[in-house]
Amino acid sequence: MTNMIMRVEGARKAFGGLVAVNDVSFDLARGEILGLIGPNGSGKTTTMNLISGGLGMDRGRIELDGEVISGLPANRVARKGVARTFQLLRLIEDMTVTENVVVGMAFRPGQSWNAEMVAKSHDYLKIVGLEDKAGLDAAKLTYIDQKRLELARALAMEPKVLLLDEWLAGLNSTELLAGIEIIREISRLGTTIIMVEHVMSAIHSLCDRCVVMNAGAKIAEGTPGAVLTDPLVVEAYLGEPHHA
Amino acid sequence: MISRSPTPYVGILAVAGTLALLPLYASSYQLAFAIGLLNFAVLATAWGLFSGPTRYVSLASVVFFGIGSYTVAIVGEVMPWPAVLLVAALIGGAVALVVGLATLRLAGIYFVIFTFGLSEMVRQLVTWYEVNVTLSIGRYIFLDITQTQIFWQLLALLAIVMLGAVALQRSRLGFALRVIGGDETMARHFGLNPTFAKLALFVASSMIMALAGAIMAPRWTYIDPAIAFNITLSFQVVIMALLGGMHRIYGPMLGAILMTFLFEALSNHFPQAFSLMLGLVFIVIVYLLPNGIVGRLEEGLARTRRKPATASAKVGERT
Repeated sequence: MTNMIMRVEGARKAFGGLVAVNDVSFDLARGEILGLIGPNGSGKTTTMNLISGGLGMDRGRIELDGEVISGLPANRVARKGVARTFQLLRLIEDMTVTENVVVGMAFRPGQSWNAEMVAKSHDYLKIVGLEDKAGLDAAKLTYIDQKRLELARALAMEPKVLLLDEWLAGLNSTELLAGIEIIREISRLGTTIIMVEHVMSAIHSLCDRCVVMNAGAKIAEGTPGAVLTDPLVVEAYLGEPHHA
Repeated sequence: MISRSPTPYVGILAVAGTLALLPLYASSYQLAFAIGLLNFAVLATAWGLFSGPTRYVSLASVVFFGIGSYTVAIVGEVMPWPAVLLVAALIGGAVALVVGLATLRLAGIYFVIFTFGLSEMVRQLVTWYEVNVTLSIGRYIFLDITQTQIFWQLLALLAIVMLGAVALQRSRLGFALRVIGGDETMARHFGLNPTFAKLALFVASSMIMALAGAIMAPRWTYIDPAIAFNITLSFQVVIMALLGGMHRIYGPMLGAILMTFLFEALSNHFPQAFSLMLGLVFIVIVYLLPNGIVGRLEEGLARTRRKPATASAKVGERT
């Protein structure tokens, strides 16, 4: 068993003439939190969709634990061990909180269909702090609680790699602190995480490494402290100095 | 969601067992009426089985019903009756498999149009075949099957469908269909194969409809494509299921019961304006009963009860 859990090699995706992801490569170490950052429209979410199989790649390959997962449809990628949250929440609103978590558990390989899933769902709800609201319909939850539920559902897949697409976006400062603690706890429990994020304080306190994208390409990679002071990265976020 | 309680199964068997005594007491008019009612109850329940959770509106009910009837017209006299039923179900299932593979990746609205077109296409194809190959547009069905036997067969079919629906609702496949109906794109990311789940249900639902068509066929001594593939049947089934409400498995059946009584009243008192009345009923349903009668009743109940504990009581049990 190597220390590497995922490898993205030369990933490319174009929508018509627009190259959204252009020859992006990076490795993901087992147990780390990797930040995928960059300005709006730089191809972060598209990269997440390529990993999760939501979109097919034009070129390149993605390996998970030594197995090629690029080219597989999303449902097969999910069963190999990649779970995700969605930038715009995608809960089933007329299902209860518990049932939404069971969505994450029910279609894992080897999972049998039994009432123990309901009991087990409480473990995941506890991690995100939703155990008191198990019986409510998802529609009845506040925005932050719906975000927690998205996360609990993804955790319920017991994924090897968890993709968080701007999971902290839209939270107020108190909620943000709570959210950061939840992600830290998930990481401590052993899940490898890739997070697309704009909240710099969260990136600084959570991420072991960052990959920075701009206009579809990877422009920097390293610790948050190093990449966020890299002139190329600063330029991508703020524009070139002589244009400003 | 997950429940092993035998109550619904026992209930269905008890009701079916009691209703089985009806032919002993009913007049032939009442029996004929009950047969029509059971037929629609089977069709609407089968329709709701697929369309309820997936929210795909199928107008192809009559295709499978007609396939069942035509199977009887063609092989009814050369095979034992159980074999005829089996052949009807298999042909219906096979057609559904092909149609499903071709269409279940389509978005909802295209599926509606496709199934509508399919009904017309099948009717035209059968007409063409009969006119050009068999050289006779209609067929006669002379089988020694009584009204009482038809009633019992339909009742047994309805009971089996209801038992199956309860089992499905408690199964992983039933849960998968609810997830797919909620958000198909999301469902894929949780390891679900939506096409497979929808296909399985579409085939099962279509086989039931073909069986209903086969059981009903001996009632007509004569069938032709215009009778067997009459698109009005597809619309009636949709209206019944929507009227009853599809988020409960007994909803479509309830709708079928009410509508059969209504159809009977309409065709007795307003024979000329039957289609017009049907249209009006449909408009009323869409505007006033978006969740059907069952949905409306439950809203009313919830409003009178207003108990805060309902939410937690819902976990794990939705029947």
